[in-house]
Amino acid sequence: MRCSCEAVPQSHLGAIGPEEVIARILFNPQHIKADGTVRSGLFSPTDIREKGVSLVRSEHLTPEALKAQADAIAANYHKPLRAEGVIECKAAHVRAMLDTQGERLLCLFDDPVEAKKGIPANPAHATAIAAREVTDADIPQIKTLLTLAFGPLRRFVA
Amino acid sequence: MLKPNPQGTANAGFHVMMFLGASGTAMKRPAQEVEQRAPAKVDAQNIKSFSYLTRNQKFKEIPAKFADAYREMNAFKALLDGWDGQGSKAILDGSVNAALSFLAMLPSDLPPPEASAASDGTVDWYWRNGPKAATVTFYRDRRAAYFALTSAVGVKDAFQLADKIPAPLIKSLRQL
Repeated sequence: MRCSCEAVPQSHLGAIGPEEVIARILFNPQHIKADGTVRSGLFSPTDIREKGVSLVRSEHLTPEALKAQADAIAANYHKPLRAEGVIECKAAHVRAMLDTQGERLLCLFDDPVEAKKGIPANPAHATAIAAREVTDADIPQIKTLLTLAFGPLRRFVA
Repeated sequence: MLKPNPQGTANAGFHVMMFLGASGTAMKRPAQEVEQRAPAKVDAQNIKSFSYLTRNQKFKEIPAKFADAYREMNAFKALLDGWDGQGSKAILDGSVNAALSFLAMLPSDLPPPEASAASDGTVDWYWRNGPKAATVTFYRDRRAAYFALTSAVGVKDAFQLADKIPAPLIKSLRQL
């Protein structure tokens, strides 16, 4: 279980509390349905298992700073796509995802990133990653629960 | 290109022909033809299924209500490396072909799924009805896994897609 890292904050913002809102920035319209909800493909098995699902502690950023961060990521990693907006949910919902044995499926912890390649530092970065070695059958469960947990897209103001 | 079938496809005005590899690895970009001919007045009762041709020259039929899902999933074959940002992988033809085979096996009384692609090349079928939802993820080599949340406790398993869909999954999808 990797989730002990949740209790040890890595940034000056402190650990992520259960009521804190976390956000996922969306760049690809392919993942967004007409009603603003997201498709399960937004969460890739590789991210869940190995890389971690990249998230933002949106309460710690002004809307302008969040948009600037998203635009910088889009310009460096998602050309020609642009940042579409964010989906959000409470940290407690991610941490409440359990397998059939009642064990946590995901850890969610603060994971500040330093500035690099035109992207400003982001002390409000967070990561969700599998809490243990997950099976193939765990993946669609995590994808389903994440898709249900996050609300509809909140578009950036142009 | 269309195989006449007993369910009235000839009246449906919806013809699909494609080559679908059993393993999905031999044909990177299979030749395909999709033709739609909407009759002046569509009789929904007559549109029941359409056929596609597998690489083994066998016709398979998919209920017409799954036509949009079929098209969405098949279109993922065009997504190349980088489609979802730096480091994202092209969609695995084998995953798409397995997903289409799965669709062909899906009972026609079930709701049509949504197609979805992930940045690591895997694909999903996804259903949602309020708080109920289900996902089937297709990996390489016809390996698949599902999770369905239709009651307080979800059901999940992994399976090798052969000639039928696991019964617990069908049962759960009927509860969506």
